[in-house]
Amino acid sequence: MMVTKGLEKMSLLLLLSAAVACGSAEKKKDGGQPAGEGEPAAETEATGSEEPIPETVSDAIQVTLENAKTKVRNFNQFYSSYTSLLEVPENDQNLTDFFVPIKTNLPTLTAASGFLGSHQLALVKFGSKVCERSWDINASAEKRSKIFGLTGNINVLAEAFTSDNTSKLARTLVARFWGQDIATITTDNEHVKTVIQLVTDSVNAMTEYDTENTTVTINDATKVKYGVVGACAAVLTSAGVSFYGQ
Amino acid sequence: MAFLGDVKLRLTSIMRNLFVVSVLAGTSLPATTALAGAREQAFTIFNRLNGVPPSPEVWKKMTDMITAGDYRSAALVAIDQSNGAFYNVFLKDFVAPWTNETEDPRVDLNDYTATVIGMVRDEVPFQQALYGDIVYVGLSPDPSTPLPEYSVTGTNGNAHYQAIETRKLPLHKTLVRKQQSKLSYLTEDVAAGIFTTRGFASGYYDAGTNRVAVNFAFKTFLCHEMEKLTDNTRPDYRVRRDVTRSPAGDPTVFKNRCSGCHSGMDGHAGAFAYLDWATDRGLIYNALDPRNVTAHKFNRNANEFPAGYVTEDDSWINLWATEGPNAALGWNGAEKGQGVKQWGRMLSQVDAFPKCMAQKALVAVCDVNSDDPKVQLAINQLANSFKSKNRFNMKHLFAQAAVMCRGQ
Repeated sequence: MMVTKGLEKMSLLLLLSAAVACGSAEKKKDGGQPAGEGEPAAETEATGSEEPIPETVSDAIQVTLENAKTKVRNFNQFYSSYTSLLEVPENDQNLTDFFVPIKTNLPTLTAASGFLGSHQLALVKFGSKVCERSWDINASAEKRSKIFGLTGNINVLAEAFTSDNTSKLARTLVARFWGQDIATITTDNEHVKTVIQLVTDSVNAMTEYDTENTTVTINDATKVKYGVVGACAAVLTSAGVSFYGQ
Repeated sequence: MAFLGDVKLRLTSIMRNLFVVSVLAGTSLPATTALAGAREQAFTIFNRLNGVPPSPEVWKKMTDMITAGDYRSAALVAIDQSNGAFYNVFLKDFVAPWTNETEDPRVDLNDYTATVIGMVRDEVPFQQALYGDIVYVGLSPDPSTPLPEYSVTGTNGNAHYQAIETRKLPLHKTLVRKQQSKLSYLTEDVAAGIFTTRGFASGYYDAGTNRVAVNFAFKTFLCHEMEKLTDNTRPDYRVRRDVTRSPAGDPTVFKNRCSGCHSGMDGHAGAFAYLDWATDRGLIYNALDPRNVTAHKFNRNANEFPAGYVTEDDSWINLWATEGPNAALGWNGAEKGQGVKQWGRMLSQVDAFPKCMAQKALVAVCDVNSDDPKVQLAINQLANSFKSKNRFNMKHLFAQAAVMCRGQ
């Protein structure tokens, strides 16, 4: 099987991960922490602009805007978000060079209604690149364990993508990218595990990948890298990271 | 080995699936309020202020503060956390559209943007952005590789800020406050905040008649475009000679339409009479030569109406201050003066200024519709606090705005 097949599966994974993100957003409506815990004693609506100027800032917050819209990150925000989430230096030359042509295809504004399919395609390209740079730059076992959750001898395919490691990979990516311990996101997300298993399985099955002019045999280390980068990009470029606000 | 560069991507099927992804992503946006605990609220506040997710450490710190009911401190932690995303990402994108007529955020960093960012970071009363002898420049963290020198003049003056961006230097650590009068030929009594920056000059003094500078100043700092300020009850004696008084032979058109903007605007625009921009020279400040008044760009096209106002100095007058519908903006400052510094001070004293800043902050942070009555109420509260309690502290304004849309 070729890498391209793996990428197609990755796109399926993206589809599913987006659905997971959708699910989590919906759950917030009835599954979130009840208001009251950590809330000010009383949130009252102001009744007019002629009120006396409050003495403290917290007193001033008498209006809460429940109709604030969800936002999408713009080109700058995606760059900073992805690099910080994956511990890639913002001034990494390899990445900044890659970003120059990509950024014109990323959103300019943060209005979620302006997010297009073409933006998503550019995100997948860019997200894959950041994941790859993170894998290359954070090459120590300790770093890879921290960022991607993988432990053991991960240069050997059979050890890298064990059931346990695949679970760790899913858990780590979800916690890192979507937010650990947010009540509406479970890090033991079965949907994510399933789709990451799809990616790692398809990478497992690869024997070669094709370039512009030639076919190259793929070794274990490369398979692991592609598997991790694919899984990473799928979670990273999903709605759970792209959108924020409510 | 390059993952993307070498591998052929079969994009067709990916594109198809990804389109569905984006559609699904759109459906994930809840229309109603989500219930949010302290941790979710911290996450929301941080994201709205930075445009990036929080680190686990900052997130926990904010959560603890919110649990204790201290929303303001939590928001301020989000603003001043170590990676400086609020300044490097959010604020840069917030200010960049102010610097060009097309309101494009994808423009190079310049002294206008950097000065606003620095003033927010240092909690400098934001009125001074309109008249202060202030500019923020970069200081290279490595003395062996200094930044190109900053200059308001010359063809290469913005290389200083371009280098800051190219090197990805963190703005919250790199910018230092300076006086324009120490870094340029502008004197203390001329330097007028952003109005005498290279960034503003390149955007609004290039060619033309400098009326666009007035228009964008009102739009940016009072949230009123000329279309909203039109008032043809004002006397038209300050309208210059380049405006015909009988368009297509019909003087009523001038009276009923043109004078609505020009009567007030041309009175204000006098403040900018000594300012100009040339690509090969940068910002130009040049007092009018009384022997050569007709050559000045304010006095060109004199044949349109030779009896019109002739600009001979940089005096300005505010014909909207006390009469007409625009008096409602609350002009508290001088009604006439000399030069852009005095004009900027007058602008900073308009009641609409703090309200406009509050509106811009709230819309940028919360993405709300400013016409919504409840949002109007929030804007009024923010503006009152900004003006009276927080002494025009923009950092606190953003923090308060983020708290307002933290989720419930």
